[in-house]
Amino acid sequence: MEPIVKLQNISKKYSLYRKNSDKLMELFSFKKKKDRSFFAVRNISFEANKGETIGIIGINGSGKSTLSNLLAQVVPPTSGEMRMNGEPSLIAISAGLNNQLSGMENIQLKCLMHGMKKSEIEEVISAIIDFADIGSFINQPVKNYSSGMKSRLGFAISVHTNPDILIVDEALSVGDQTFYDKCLKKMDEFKQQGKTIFFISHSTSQIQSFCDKVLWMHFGEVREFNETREVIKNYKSFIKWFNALDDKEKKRYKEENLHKQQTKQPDMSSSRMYTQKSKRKMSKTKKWGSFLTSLQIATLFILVVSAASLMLSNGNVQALVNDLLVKQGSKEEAPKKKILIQKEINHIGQVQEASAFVYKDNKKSEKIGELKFTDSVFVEEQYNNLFKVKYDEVTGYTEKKNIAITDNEKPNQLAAFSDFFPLTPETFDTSYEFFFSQIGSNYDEVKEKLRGLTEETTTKDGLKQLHYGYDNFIYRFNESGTVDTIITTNVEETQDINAISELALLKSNNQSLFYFLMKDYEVYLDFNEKTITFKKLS
Amino acid sequence: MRFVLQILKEQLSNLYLIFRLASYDMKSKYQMHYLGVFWQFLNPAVQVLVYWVVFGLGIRARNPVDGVPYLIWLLVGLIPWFFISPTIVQGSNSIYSKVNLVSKMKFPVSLLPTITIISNSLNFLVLLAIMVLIMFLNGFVPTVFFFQLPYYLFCTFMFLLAITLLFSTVSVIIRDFQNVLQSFMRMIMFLLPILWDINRLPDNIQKILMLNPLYYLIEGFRNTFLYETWFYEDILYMSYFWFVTLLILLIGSILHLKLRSKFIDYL
Repeated sequence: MEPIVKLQNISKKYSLYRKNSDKLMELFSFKKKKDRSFFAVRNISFEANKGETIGIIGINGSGKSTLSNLLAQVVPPTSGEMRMNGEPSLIAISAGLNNQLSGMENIQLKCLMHGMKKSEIEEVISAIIDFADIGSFINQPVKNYSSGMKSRLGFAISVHTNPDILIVDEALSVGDQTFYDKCLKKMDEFKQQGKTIFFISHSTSQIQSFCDKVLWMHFGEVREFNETREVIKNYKSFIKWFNALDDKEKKRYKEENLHKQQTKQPDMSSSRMYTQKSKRKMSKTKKWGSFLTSLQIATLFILVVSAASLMLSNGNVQALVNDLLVKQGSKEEAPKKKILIQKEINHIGQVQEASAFVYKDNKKSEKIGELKFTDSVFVEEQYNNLFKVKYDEVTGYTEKKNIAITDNEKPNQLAAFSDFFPLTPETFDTSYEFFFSQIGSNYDEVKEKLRGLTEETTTKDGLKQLHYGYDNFIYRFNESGTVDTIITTNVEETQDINAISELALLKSNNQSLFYFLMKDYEVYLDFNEKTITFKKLS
Repeated sequence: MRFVLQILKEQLSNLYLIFRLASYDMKSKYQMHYLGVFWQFLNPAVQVLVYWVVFGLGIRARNPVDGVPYLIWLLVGLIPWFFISPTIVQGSNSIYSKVNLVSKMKFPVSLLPTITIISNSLNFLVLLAIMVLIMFLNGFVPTVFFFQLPYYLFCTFMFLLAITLLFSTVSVIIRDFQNVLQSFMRMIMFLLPILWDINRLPDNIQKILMLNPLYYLIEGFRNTFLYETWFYEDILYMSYFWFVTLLILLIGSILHLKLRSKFIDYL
């Protein structure tokens, strides 16, 4: 008869890390050799047949739980071969219920996760509720359950998922006597159905009453695997001997054995040869596979990088690629840009930024000019967020936000000197009339009449300027040598900007440049330079 | 590629399971709240309101973006983000938080990130529908470009699948990764054209920001609903996005399949 479970030289090795980062190191297979490792289970071989009930006993730390996890295929073995003809199911105390959901929903959830179909779930659901014996609590969230209810529900679900191989790990110790009896009955049922059961427990009496065979685990190795009566007898005598030792000897005995588990594997040349042989056979295909994988990663990486660099390089290449690719498919022109708005405007506008660039086309590829605050342009049409503008025989595109369309309806408000008093320094407020009486004077006349000259400069356009720093005035002479512009410096920003801003005919988007008209003057207020420039109207 | 195929096969053959588990996931999330599922819509509504007041009314002073009212423009970018961002964060944590549940049974762990994606996506689809409704009420007529929505949804799902698979694997092994990711996601929102119009930046910087594949997704939803641009118009950018997604998926699948058996050891 084919055994239903067959283990051959199964070992499970855990690496002992000194630091957390060592885990990572091992993952990337650096310094693998140096690790200290611990064999939780070492070199285990046994077979189990259909319908057998096998008890697993052993003292604490002998590898019972690891073995049960290995059998349930929750944990993969480090080496060795395991063959299983059937679905294993592990029944443990904490069977992972979702606390937020009700018992009913948990049953459905767990059954789904076990891979059952909808119709199958409906069949077993009443049996589970019956078995768990939870009553009306079944529709309550699981977090309201008592611990007994939780484990009963968990056990009931696992039992009803219809496994071929059942692994019971100390699960029965939580229930009361009635539940325990119920479980035993259920297990007997499974036995009758010819299922294989692994029963893990400390209690020799439970095992004796229930199991056909017993596997005695001792510090990671099988000490004995035989008929129940014999093994239990030996186990009991071992326990008796062990308990008779005094504390020091007990400690030494444990330490010795633990030490054995940490050292190198004992001689098992036959199995090692076996694994080496298979390794050699594997290695060729494995190498080829990993080569292919790294090739794929490299290819994709190169593709990503080249696409990125194409995107980052100038738009011409992109247009080229687009052209090439699109032309192959259809004869359409280069893909149209997203057009939202294109409408005629045909109106005069003024620049409302300190400076605005004008571009040759709507892709903003080539600059053809620059406009200054208050420059007038003729706006022909809007193209998305661009304006097509015309000035001095030049036609080009500029950002829409740079241009304010002049409002014809608005009357030309006139400002007065007194309107600027909140901003100007005190010297202006008290004696502006005297300073402005110099308009029209020539260079020598100004120098003669006014004291306190601090600086003489020339502007970019070659116009002479006289600075009277103490009084916060600058006189600028026009080409013919007379004063036509007076600049007030040290202008302060006041709280009450609204009043002055109301009077402005044009203001820049960031509220730092304003343009006013007075009876005889054009006025530019510049908060960045802190100046007000009065220019005599000709 | 066989790694990728194996992962995809696992997803496809367990579709029913994914949907059922996702529905339980949704149920358990809001079971204890009095307003229940309603929170799924209240939370985003409050956030939209805040962003709209701060950016729309405050900073932009009611200026429309490219001729679209700011609220609409914001919604089209923000609603996909409400889906993408929490899904990446939760999805990356999904294996770590649930591996205890599934470790005692044979269950393909690669489904866990997908379950997170699916359980978040119902909420996303409803929000999308609400968004379209708001657009109608504001006088936006549906165009033929709406038909490319499935394409961009597909892009979003594939990208999320790839990135959550990779991140969830990494964050089991390096727990610090989850914390890094959370702060990173908060930061990256401002490097995407969600709250503000990136067209105002210089071209070079804009192109660098475009290298973020999330940019492609957000821009895709805007193209669909507002800009009337077909997805094949910028083939270079489209292929860039897919190359990145495939690369992430490949690396994620390899790492996941190689390390899957060791997850238990890392908890």
